Amino acid sequence: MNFSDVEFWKQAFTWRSSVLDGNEPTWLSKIRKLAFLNFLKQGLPHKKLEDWKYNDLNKLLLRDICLTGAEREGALSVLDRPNYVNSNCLVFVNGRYCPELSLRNEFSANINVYSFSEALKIIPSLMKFLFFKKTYQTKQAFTSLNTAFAREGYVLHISREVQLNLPIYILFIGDHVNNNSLMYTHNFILLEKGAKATVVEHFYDDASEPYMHSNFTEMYLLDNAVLTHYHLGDASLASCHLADWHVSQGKNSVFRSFSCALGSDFSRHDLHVQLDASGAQCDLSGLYHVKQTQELDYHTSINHVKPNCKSHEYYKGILNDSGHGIFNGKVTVYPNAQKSQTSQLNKNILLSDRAEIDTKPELKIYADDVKCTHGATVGQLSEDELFYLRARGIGEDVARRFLLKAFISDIVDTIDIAAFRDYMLNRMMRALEV
Amino acid sequence: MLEIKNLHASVQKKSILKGVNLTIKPGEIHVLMGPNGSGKTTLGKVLAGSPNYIVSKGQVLFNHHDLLMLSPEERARRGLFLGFQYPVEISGVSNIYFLKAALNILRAQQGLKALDALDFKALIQKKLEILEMDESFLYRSINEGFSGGEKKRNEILQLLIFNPTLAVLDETDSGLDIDSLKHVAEGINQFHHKDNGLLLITHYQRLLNYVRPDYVHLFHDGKIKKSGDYRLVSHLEKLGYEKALTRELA
Repeated sequence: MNFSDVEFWKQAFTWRSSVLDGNEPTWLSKIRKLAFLNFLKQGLPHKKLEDWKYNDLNKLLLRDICLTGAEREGALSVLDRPNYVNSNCLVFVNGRYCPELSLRNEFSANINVYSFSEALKIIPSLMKFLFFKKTYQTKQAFTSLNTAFAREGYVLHISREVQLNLPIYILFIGDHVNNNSLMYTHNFILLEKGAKATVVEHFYDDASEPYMHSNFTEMYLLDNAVLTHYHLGDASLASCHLADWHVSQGKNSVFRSFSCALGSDFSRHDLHVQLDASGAQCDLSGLYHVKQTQELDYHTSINHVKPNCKSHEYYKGILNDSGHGIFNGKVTVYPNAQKSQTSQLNKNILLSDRAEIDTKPELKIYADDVKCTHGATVGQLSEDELFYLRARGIGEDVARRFLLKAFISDIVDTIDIAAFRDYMLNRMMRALEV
Repeated sequence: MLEIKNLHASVQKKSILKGVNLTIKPGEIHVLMGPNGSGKTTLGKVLAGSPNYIVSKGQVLFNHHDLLMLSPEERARRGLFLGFQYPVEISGVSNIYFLKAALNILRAQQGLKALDALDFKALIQKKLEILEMDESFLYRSINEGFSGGEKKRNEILQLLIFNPTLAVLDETDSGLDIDSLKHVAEGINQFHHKDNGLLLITHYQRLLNYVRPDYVHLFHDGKIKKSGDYRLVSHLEKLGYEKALTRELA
């Protein structure tokens, strides 16, 4: 069966319901059903949809999939935690939560860190509250499918005014992944008023056969909350990675996002930020690298719903071989969202004449007193800079890496967790070497 | 150490060098003067191996090796240094990181062990003092936001650190105020000794008040039209290039 087969999805959902209904709260079964109906209504993406115009959809839709495959127990060969992880770590292997591999500190009662299935048992009313925020009504078919099928993920809930200083690390590991398996994870982060947290989501695997991971993280920042969210997509080139992030921000809250995408044959990142109350601000940044025939897509959308909000976007990409990148930055400023400030910048370097980048700002501004800027650049490494370094004895390959490292350095420098920053940079430089 | 024989080079099919002949022996300082657009900078770039130029004819021997067969990095590793007329700004790479990496590559070539951060710091400290450069230069991106004079001093700093056997300095004295000029000249004099060679490309006599050349060449239309000793400089200053060339050609 391949992804585009709607009959397959119908059967899969019926099968899922027969197994799970009764084991899950009735309200969740209902949500799943609504999400699935929404998926059927939206249908699968196609070229005529603006949001999918530049994607090679065959790469996604013609993938063979098998829903049950991910549940196989692996031989745990890639389970050494990356060296930057020193505390507070939840590990998911093939989409399943692994308590024995996780590192969980004793948190105070003000900090709740659970797996999805634990949360359903321990904090069911909160889960119900979060699910009923109606993200299943999204126009993205994949997000609806995620809500319909996902049974694991992480849930982070931080009480009012509680500041979590150490980051929470979430490792999504593919270990001896079954051919064509499809895994879903669905996460929630809820920061109550004035709460503060940092979360790192890291995806990697040892897979040589194709598989797909759909991850959906819903984030809610109440007034004055501060959330920093890091993402490192470093799965093997056999994989397909769908990352979906929905953020909803309260008054004067601050959301910072950094995403680095290196892996996967096909990856799509949808980041949607809702600036729902005045004074909220978001700062989104990212680095991506594609080579061989990789296709990668960052679709960001920011809604300035209320006045006095700020948004800032800065993404940089390096594209090699026949790699294809897409950056789409949509910003909508609602009619009463006066004094909005928004800026967007996307810079790219093409290292091969077969590489391709489609970069597109999309500004929809319905208020008059706003400050909006956007820009995009596509270039190559500067021959003059290369020659200058070579004329000092630095070999051409090293000089290229010097310049590429320099190109990404301003974004790299914004990463606060030094150990994670070094790890990410190291992975990126290695990807650039081959 | 350097023998240029009948060198011809072009950029984008436009012929720039039209038969350059020049020999530099160890310990010698040569000066190349000539009007704008005569090809002086091209000569420097061709010697350093810029991929923008095509050498169509001629030969360059550097310590008896065929220089033109070597990549730019290989030329540098064998002791050739070009001080750029317009040093390139490279944001995101700190000066100190670049200098240390480049020096250790050159040292490896010479069979010397790499300097660690501490040793390197000690080495560079003395050079900074000669050029009266503030240590903060080391931690800024290469040439980024440097003034014209700071960029040129940074070139001389590299000259002192890398200590090549032959240095071609392309208008290192242009755009300098009097103090900077003195520091640059001081740096050049510190560098120079009986075993290395210098080719200075300049427009002005003022650098030559501090650095005494052995040979002065008048460069025009892609080749050396006249060579002489130090006295040629004042001759050129007095007459200007145009008159001097008309007389030469007459």
